[in-house]
Amino acid sequence: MRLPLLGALLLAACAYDPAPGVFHTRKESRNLECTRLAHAQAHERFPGDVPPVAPRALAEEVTDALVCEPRFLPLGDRMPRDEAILSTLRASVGTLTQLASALNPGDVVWHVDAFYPEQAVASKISIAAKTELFEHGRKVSDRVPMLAAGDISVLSHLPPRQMYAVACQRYFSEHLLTERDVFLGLMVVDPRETQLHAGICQGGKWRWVQ
Amino acid sequence: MLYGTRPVNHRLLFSWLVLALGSGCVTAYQPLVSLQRPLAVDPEIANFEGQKILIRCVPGEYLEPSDAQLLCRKLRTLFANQSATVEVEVPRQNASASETSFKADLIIELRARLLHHGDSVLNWLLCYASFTLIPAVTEFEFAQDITVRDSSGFMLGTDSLQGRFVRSFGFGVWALNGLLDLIVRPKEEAVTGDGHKKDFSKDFFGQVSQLAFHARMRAAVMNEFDKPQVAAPKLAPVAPTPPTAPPPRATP
Repeated sequence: MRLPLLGALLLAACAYDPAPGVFHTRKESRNLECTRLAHAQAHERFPGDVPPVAPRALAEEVTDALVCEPRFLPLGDRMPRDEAILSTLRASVGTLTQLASALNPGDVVWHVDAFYPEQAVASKISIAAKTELFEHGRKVSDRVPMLAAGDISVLSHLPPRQMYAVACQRYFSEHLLTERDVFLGLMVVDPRETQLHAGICQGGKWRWVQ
Repeated sequence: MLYGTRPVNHRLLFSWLVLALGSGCVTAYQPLVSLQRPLAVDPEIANFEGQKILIRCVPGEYLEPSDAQLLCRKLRTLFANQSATVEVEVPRQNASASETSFKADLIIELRARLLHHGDSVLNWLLCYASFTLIPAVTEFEFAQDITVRDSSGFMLGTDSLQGRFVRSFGFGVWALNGLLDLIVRPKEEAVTGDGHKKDFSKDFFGQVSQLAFHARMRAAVMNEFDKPQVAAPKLAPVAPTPPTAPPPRATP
């Protein structure tokens, strides 16, 4: 038996294993997102890499594949909270807009804004929500209702329980929103969170969605 | 001398024994799903002041009752360190949750599943035949399913944390990684030793804390902040203005 040859073959096989070791660092392994798929499913998704299931495979033979894909941006490139929110943005915003839409099925115009300390991330959240609403056939406005500086100064000293409700009343009393407008706000309530909450303002009344 | 028998090569047997006994294990941990997600919560500060948490570790095929007890004890310490009042419960296998007088704000339930186990007899034979120069590789893939509910049973959060441990046995792999750790790799990238345990504990306890904190916030929002559960955080601006809040503290 050619043991060195076998050893070399096994070492070559290890290079395909995404676990940390001789070929991959711990950091590299953490930047992969892996899921285990059944052999047939893996072949369907990656026909070039995974061979088809043998027609005479033994019934009890369990064959599956670990499929790994690198993260869009490596961990550490963005702030942890921004990274957590942006990497799941489509799913989280999709759920929130769906819930909000279900509460207002009528013919209304949607205004969307995101309250997030990092302005660049806030814009991404807001655009994602507008796109989701638009894709579901909703009328979406590009206009964001803006309160006066005095209002903002007062609101910024209120706890979240009151802040959004009072802002909603002000939007309505200042005619920034009418009866045919719905305002969807997306926010992080506590800096220790990596999940988004949402609330809607209609007719001067604020309602939390999630 | 009988036909077909060969004298025992004592030197060969001795070297085989030395190598087999001197071989070591290298265990690698790889987070698969959710375990490597970035954290904003710091598990070392008071995140659950005034909160009562019931932790239920459900034994199963992959979690022995003694391991479930140990897991619950560690989680009790984790949440107690974050200022929560904690009770733990390890239900008997196939038994429904017992009634308890402890009125919890959050009920955290944990179940473990084995997703994949890879271990080849041929690989072990090759390992021993090669004086353990060819490593024998054993792999475990697991999922820790976590649900968080409030006292009325309303689901506040759920997640499935999935990871993988790969254990390689053999003199070759142990010596090679040991040398690389000694000469090439920085300390935080070392593969030998108990780095895998530390990495997993940090990921797992961090993600459980984050999930429980999300559940707490979701409960507060859904109850429209009826109970003064959360101290007022630094507010986000109400209208588009330049960023004012400080960046979140990175978890160590």
